[in-house]
Amino acid sequence: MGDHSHGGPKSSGTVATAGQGEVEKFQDPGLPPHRPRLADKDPRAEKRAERQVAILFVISIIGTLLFFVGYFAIRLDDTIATLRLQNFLLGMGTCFAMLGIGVGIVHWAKTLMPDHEIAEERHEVRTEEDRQIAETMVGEIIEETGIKRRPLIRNTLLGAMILAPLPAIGIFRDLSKEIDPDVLRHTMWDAGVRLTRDPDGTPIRASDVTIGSAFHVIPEGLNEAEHKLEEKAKAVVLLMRLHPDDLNVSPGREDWNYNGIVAYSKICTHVGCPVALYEQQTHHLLCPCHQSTFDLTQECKVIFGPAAHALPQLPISVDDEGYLIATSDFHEPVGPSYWERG
Amino acid sequence: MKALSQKRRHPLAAIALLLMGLLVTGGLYAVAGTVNEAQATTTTYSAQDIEEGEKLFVANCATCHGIGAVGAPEGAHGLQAGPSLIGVGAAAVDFQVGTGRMPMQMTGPQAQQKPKQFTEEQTMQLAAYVASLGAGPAVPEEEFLDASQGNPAEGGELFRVNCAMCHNAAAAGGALTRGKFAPTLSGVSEKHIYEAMVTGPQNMPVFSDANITPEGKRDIIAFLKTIEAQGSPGGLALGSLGPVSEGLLMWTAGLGVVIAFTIWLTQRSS
Amino acid sequence: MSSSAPDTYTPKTGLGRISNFVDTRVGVSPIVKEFGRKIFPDHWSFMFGEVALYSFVILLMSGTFLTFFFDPSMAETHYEGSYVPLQGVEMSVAYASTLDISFDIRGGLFMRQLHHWAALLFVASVSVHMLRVFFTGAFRRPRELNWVVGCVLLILALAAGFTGYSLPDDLLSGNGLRIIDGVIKAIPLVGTYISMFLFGGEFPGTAIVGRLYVLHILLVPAIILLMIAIHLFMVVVHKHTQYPGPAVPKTTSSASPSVPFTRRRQAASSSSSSASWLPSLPTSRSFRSGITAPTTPPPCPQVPSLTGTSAGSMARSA
Repeated sequence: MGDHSHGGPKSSGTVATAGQGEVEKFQDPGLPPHRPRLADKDPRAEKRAERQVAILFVISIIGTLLFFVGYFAIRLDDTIATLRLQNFLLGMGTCFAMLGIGVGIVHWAKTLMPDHEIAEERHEVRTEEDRQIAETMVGEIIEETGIKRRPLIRNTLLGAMILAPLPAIGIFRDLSKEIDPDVLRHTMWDAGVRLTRDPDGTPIRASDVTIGSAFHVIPEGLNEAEHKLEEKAKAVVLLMRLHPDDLNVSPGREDWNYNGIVAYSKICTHVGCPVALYEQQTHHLLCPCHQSTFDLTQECKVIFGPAAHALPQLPISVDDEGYLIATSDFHEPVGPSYWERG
Repeated sequence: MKALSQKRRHPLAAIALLLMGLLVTGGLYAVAGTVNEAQATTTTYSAQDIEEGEKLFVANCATCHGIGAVGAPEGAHGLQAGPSLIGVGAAAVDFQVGTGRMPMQMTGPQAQQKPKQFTEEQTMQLAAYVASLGAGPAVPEEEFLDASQGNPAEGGELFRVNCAMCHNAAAAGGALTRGKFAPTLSGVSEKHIYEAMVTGPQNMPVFSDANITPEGKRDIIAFLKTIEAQGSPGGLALGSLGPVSEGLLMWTAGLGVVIAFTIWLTQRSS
Repeated sequence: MSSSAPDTYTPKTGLGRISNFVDTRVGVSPIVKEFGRKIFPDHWSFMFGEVALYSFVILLMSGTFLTFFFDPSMAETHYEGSYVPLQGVEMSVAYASTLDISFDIRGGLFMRQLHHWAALLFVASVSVHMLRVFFTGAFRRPRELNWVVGCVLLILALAAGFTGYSLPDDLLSGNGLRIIDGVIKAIPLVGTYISMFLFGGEFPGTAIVGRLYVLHILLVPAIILLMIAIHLFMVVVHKHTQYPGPAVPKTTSSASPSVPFTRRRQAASSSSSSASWLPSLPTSRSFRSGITAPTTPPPCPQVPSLTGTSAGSMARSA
């Protein structure tokens, strides 16, 4: 596009010819004339810019020093306040160190380096000539391999190439030794398993559960279980007590609550977050992840949010000693839906 | 308050005995709903406290809660009916009035904390009156409010199991359904934290001593006071709301700063 | 490269000898010739791609630091570090080592924060970069493939973010993993199997943190780097797009159908850009700088040109 050493609108001349054939509504004004900057005209401005750039680099140096002051001069003494101070100094030091260099160089480029605009031509991504050469070459290569004339070789190679990567997939089979979707149907709960407090595992008396209470419950023996976390992820239960009149019990579930004490799975049926936000007056259970809301009075039916199933209810009763026990496992899988759940 | 707490001592053994007796006699079902009452049955306020409290109650609370705190009929005086206060105990009054939630300024999704309207003495008198109507949780004893005696690590575990889903893992509070919310626990006094657990104000569930022991409650208080005192290790906590406030900051202030830099970067020097 | 050039040239300085040594063996000169005066559009909205790139560089550096101290094990342990509210609490080794990085390794918390915020800025700048490309139509022919590569990069950025989010094994990680488990289980037919393959059995298992760690520090960043290389290669092939403006030839469609992908030239200064179809955008400024030597392609009036600056990009890459 010609020499722009003075930044004049020379390019517009070239460009204007490009548009000559067209009907132009407006005359293309072209690039405006180059405007010298302060530092181009005034030696003092130039000096000043030079000083500013140097100051910015000095700020960077100070920043690095600040980092080391924070790192070495501050001894961590197990208090959060010292940690916070050190963290602050490290951050500010690094900030100044990096910004000083970056801002300095940009300021240098903007004020002191030449500011002439240049143009660069676009090229076609390929030329017709290249395309023809490539086409000929590829044709020759295919011809030389003879793959078209020898279908036996071609087909066996294809078969081999399809099969060969399969071991690379198959070898990942043992990412999980056992895969049995049926385990998702069962939890640690069973007839006679006591309801115990999370986390200490002490049993709960029916009399402990007053109206308005909420207990976070794990099955007895969970803390000693072999796969504690996996079992806990399915078995956690929220235990609440309502006035028996507030409960709308559907047929078949009459003996699932104990005198207004009900136990529901804490695992949201949407994607499995713990539904543990219990509002004791509205009897709503809220999932904090996606705001699915379950109505405890209607057997934890979904009344708001993305969950599709009601929370599974754990049938409970009391044993001879007055402790709450489960009378069976959940009657449906807990947690989010999955294909085999049906 | 000290004088009060001295009068309120009562051996816990009696509770256990009482409970056992109830179990044996098969009266379990009838009293299970009011087990908390057993703990505060003998709290003694002077008759004068109760009398003063009743006057205050009639003047300030009876509009909604009804004369005798039996609860107002639905829609009385165009207001939402206040619940009966019989059996809520002194702790409930001390919490609700002591944090300014009661008397309510207006009905709404939940009573908001605001500058309290009664002096400590008046609050005590109101509590005395309500406690006299029916047994309920008493104002907690000092020994369970001393955070220095609690174990913050164990309190933290209890907190994460029982409290964190509503009040946030950093106790910063969080939203509930339909305009309700769990408030932040930062800046709440030890006594009020304890009372809230025992009484379950508004939509908060009750965490009776049968659920979380008084020592456990003290551990929770110790945990809360520890994280409150030490503050955020990394600088601004951004409300301790996690990814939400952090993402918001990055998409507004963060990108704003970046855009300011890029504009400066591409601008001609004067 | 001509074989006669190295023979006739004798460098005078030590630095010259070193660069000549390299140049004669790997051919740096043509690279410098190609990229030494690479021009760059001078509108600020073109810089989000670079912001994303440098965020990624920061992520690589801070992340490398963190790998020296992080232990991706889900074995149970009791925390014994200096953070009081968790002392004695049972937790995974991964979380304990995260706490150690935060509270017991000097600068560890700072590096975690750097990594965290750079990740947020990475995703944010990639997204805004995409918005710029979308709303200026810069995804159109011949740049469709590069748009697709960019989309893949956004997905990879999210994947890197998610796998990293899950590593500390704290409360947020647990919730995030639980949600992902639920999402995977919802896939028809194979969901349960994929979930069990991923977690090595039932949620949460003892394998997931280690597996996500490999994805987070090896696989995902490697693919991101590969994609960035392809992305930048295509930018070099196509050259940058540019806003329309004065001194921009009208050759987009009618004049030259053989090169319909060419875009218009630099919007120049002043508010005289009445012909601009983007009058409201702040295109009325241009930053001319940096290059005095002309790049001289064969004059071909049908191929519009593109102007820009190099000082800006030079400064930024510093």
